[in-house]
Amino acid sequence: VPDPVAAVALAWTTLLLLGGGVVLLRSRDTLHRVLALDVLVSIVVVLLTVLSYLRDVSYYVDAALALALLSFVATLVAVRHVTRGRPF
Amino acid sequence: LTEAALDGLGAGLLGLGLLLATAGLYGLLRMPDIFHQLHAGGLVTGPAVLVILLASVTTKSTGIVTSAALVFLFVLITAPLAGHAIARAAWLRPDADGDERPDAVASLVSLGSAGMRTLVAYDGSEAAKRALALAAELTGTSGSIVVAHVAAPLGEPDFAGSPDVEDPEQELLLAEARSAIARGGVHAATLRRRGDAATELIAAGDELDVDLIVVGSRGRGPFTSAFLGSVSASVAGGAHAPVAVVGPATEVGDGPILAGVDGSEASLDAARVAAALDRRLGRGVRVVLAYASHSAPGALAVPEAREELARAEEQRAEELLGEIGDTLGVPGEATQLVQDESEPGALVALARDVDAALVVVGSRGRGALRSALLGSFSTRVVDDAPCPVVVLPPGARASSFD
Repeated sequence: VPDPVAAVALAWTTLLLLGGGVVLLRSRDTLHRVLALDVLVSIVVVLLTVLSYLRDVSYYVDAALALALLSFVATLVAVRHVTRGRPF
Repeated sequence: LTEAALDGLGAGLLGLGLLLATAGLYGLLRMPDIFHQLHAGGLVTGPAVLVILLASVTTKSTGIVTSAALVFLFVLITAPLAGHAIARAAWLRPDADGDERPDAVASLVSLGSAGMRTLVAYDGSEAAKRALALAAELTGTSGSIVVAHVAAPLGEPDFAGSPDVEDPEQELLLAEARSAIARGGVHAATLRRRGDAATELIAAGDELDVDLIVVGSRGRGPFTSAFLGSVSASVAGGAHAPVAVVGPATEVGDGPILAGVDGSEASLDAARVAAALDRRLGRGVRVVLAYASHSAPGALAVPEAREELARAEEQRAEELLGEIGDTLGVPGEATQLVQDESEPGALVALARDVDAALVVVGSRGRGALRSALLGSFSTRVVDDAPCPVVVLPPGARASSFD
């Protein structure tokens, strides 16, 4: 990936992150917030991936994997809490 | 040339991914409800991330490609799962977005304000029929009964299906139950719900502000219930009114109503509820205080001291029962002391001996799994008693029978 392209992509993703923040602030209830946070984490994963392309190092992607893992578990637990009133 | 082609491919993939993410975010902001928003959000969490990770093949670093491949696999699996979990929660949730779910229509007719209000869960099973009969008996002609049937959610909310189809089977069941009650002269209304049975029943009980909830139980043991889920146990743990659990082999006996107390404030409510229920049944109430003689250290060496201690315990129990009888107006003579036995076993045995009509006990409201592991007094009584058991969930209003 050419460096200028990656740099532009990085800037764009940062803007998307702000957009995700707007979605989170506009969410009406818990489930909307869970969805907004899920999307927000995806954008951060994208951000970290593009950053690793730009700097040509791999460990940003590893951080993205850890983040995606956490987000998945958190989503499932939060959703269970909404339906059952308790996480387990 | 290959260099330029790779660069072009990488730039293209990045651009496509960002375009997908932007479109998804825009949809998330514009779509009207959670189901539509999930569709848009899925575009970001799934395809957008995957396409951008795919762009890693155009970098010349093997480290990045391996790491990205791992994330790619992970996202490929978890993104749909997370989306499905959110959609399922939105579908099962009692009040989606504050607007009526089209299929959760409550066909509520005017309920009389006087008398007792009873909610009965009815699914046509043998236990449910017993529950219906018990509800009619306890409510009497002055009160009203709401027969509720909770059907499974309409499968997956598919795109072609219309969500407000009425379930003919559900209608038939409820009509059958209502006519059975009406024959006894009790005012009855029906309630149709969809979703998780226990959640919907507890919610319906709150909305209708009922005095009593009656549910049938399939009579599975504590462990089977913990793993397969027991609607009656969940309702008895989480409702805000007393819950009568009718097992598959229980009969309303000819004897009195037993109220199990241990001296705590919560258990006094059990005695109050028993007294209130007795106003309709007229069988008399027996307040049962279950206690075991504790062996004090060193007492074994001195037999006289042991007897002394036992006498003291007995005296304390007598005093407590006397107090309960005075404050609640429950006949004081109708008391019983149980000694040297495990408490649920003693209460169940006594219920069998006197052919009890009902047993009333308080519950600490542990969940099914924790009850199975830690042991729950109310759960064991429900499982073993020969008659229907009224459980007072920890959140039940003490005033519900005034």
